[in-house]
Amino acid sequence: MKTSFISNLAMNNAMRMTIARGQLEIQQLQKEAVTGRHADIGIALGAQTSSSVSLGRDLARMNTILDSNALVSQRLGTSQLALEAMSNSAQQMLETFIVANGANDAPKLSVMQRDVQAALETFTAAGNTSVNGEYLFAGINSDVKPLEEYTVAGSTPKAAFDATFLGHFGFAQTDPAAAGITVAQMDNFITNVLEPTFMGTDWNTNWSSASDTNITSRIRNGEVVESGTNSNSLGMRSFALAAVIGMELLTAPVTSEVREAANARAIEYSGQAVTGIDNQRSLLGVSENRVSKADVALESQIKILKLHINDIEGVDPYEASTRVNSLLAQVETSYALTARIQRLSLMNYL
Amino acid sequence: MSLTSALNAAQTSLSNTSTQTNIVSRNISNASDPDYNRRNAALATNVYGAQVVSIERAQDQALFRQTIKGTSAASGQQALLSGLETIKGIFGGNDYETSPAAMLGTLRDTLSTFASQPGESTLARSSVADAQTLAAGIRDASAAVQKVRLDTDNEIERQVGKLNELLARFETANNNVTRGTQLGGDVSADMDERDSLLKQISGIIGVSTITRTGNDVAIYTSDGTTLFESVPRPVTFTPSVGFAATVQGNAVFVDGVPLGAGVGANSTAKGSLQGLLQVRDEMAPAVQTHLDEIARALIVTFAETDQSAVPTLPDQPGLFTWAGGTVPAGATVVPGIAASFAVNAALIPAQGGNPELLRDGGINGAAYNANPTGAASFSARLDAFVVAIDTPMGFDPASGLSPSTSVIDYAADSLGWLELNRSEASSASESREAFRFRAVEAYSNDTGVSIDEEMSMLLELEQSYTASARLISVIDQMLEALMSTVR
Repeated sequence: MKTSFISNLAMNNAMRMTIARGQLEIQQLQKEAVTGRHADIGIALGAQTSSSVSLGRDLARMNTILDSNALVSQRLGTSQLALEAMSNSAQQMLETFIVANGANDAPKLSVMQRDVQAALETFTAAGNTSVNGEYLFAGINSDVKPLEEYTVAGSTPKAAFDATFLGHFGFAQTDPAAAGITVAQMDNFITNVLEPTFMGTDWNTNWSSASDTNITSRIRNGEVVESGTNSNSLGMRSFALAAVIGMELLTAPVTSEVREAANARAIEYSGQAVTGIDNQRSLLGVSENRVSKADVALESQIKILKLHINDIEGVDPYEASTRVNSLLAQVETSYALTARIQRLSLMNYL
Repeated sequence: MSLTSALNAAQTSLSNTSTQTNIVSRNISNASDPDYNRRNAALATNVYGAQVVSIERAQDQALFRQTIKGTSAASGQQALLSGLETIKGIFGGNDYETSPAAMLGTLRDTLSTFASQPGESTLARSSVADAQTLAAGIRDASAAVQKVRLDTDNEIERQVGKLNELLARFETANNNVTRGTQLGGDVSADMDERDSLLKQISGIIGVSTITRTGNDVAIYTSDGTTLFESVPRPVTFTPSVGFAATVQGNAVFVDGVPLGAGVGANSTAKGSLQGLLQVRDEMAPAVQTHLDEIARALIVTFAETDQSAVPTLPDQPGLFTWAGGTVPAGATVVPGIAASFAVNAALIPAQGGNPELLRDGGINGAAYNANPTGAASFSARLDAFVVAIDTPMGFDPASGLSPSTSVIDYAADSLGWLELNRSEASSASESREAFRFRAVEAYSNDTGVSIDEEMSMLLELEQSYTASARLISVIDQMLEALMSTVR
């Protein structure tokens, strides 16, 4: 007759599963207590794993944009400094022209020419500023030096000007025959011949290798700004035009009336240069502002994302360690019980 | 009544006790054999007192059926879970380091950095290098998925072989039982053997049994196909030599009827065969389809378009290409595209390519060059790539994931799909294992040996033996007394 409803095999195995489960869980909880994340994210999150992975990628992307924004800020900041130098030299040139107004004697003219040349050289140097091997004012054509130098030997723009003058008047600007040029002729030359070579496509052949397309940078998801400018702007063209008039026409052997008329035009173009360059500065200022706002937005987004990721993937390490402790107690109880049950046998009493 | 009959009864009692002791010692020696069912010597009374009539074997058909059912379900679920675990392993650990989603994220970040400094040729090189890592990752994942299918196919072959062998042994055991039953002998040992085989068979394939006259057992699969009736029915399977996305695995035939695969993460699989079939024919191919779609979407995303004012030329593969060398049209999966997915050799420096073409385009001729002047800081195309990775596009609805999403989200969704199944399979496996364990425990409690009980019975037998022996000696003395009177 069967009286008992427990077999020795079942009794020996009873605690086995409890112990095995407990040990497995302790191992996982230990991992969780240390890392603060689920031991196996896929098992814990199931389908939500995809959002955990996506959020992780988004976070990495934002950090990358933040890094590249630092680069953009640097480019914009350096551009601002260079443009400031250009603007200052435009201002100095303007003042030089105003001071030189009405001057006809050679020493004054040569001082004027020297000052204008210095201003042009400063302008050219600033226009050719490079950062990280990129020319700042070349537009997207950033591997090519954007501005030609006027004052060096064999200069392209100088040769182009000489050819333009010779082509129009039939003699060089240094020729004494220049004294025969009337005010009307000079005005006509500046307005209809000289100005178009600066404002038209000749500028790109003689003076500038920059691209009209500015460098653009993505500073945030969905926000792209111009992170540079180029040397084809109206301000830069006017600067060069004013400087050339100052260096070539004012020092030419022309009558004082013609010189005065040319000086007036030079002052006009210098004024345009100051305004134009300041315009570029304010445009870049807008970009700088947008970058810094984007940085702030990105940083707060990163914080929120981190919190969100932690909500999804994270576990409470205190809870995990508390559970480890209670599980350890449980497993130890199982061990003790198993040992005692093993000892429990009728054999010991026979 | 006479003294002689009393002596006979006492003798019978001695013989009974020795038979019962034999049974007890057999029970004790098999106490830790999980396939052993407790025996009991049934006594019946006749004119000479009690006589052992038969040796009863403890049985409980209902619990045994539960055990078999639990074993099938747990083993099928376990096969599915370990298949999913292997597939998940392809994509790395907790951070999914080797998943297309993670590697595509890295490529996007590098491209984004490159877009902010398009003149840096080192960034062009590292972008191409990241693209190569991604392409190799997708290729490797595709190969690994097919390897999982091949390994599973081999495992199916092994299991089918084992099943046929078990069925052959079952036939022997069943014949022994029926023959023994006809002859009226003790068939307990053969029945233990038969039950043990049935337990093993149920781990491979879900079965139900019918016991017929003469203790003959017939086995049917859960689908109702005959697996064993007097003779084992053939279970046949032809393993495949190799697997690719377009290769279908062969079915397992039980008595000519194909065995269905399990369905769902909380699988309907009964026995490991159905679980393995599910991994080979459902789970792994689904992951392969996801990889194919990711590869196709990347080829489309990075394709070069004709830059002429009036475009006439067709789109051509750009950064990524494949064995077909074309840009697949439409949102339709191209099976196996992931297996030959690669970075265009025209961009790889080690193969004589120029990584800078990534910035300008023009791999397929000048008409595709978006930056004909070669401006160093041309970032529009790179930026467009970065944006395109995040822009929703069409995916084949047959792949089972969202038909309109960005390629990077699709890659993440694919992981989500896998983990959803793995997570469900894991919890289902835990509960089924627990069910199996409880069923086995209940069956063991009902039919197993308790040494304590056997020992107490032994005490009882000892007493009975002593009493019988005492009886014989008393009767002997009485006969002695009788004889001395006669003498």
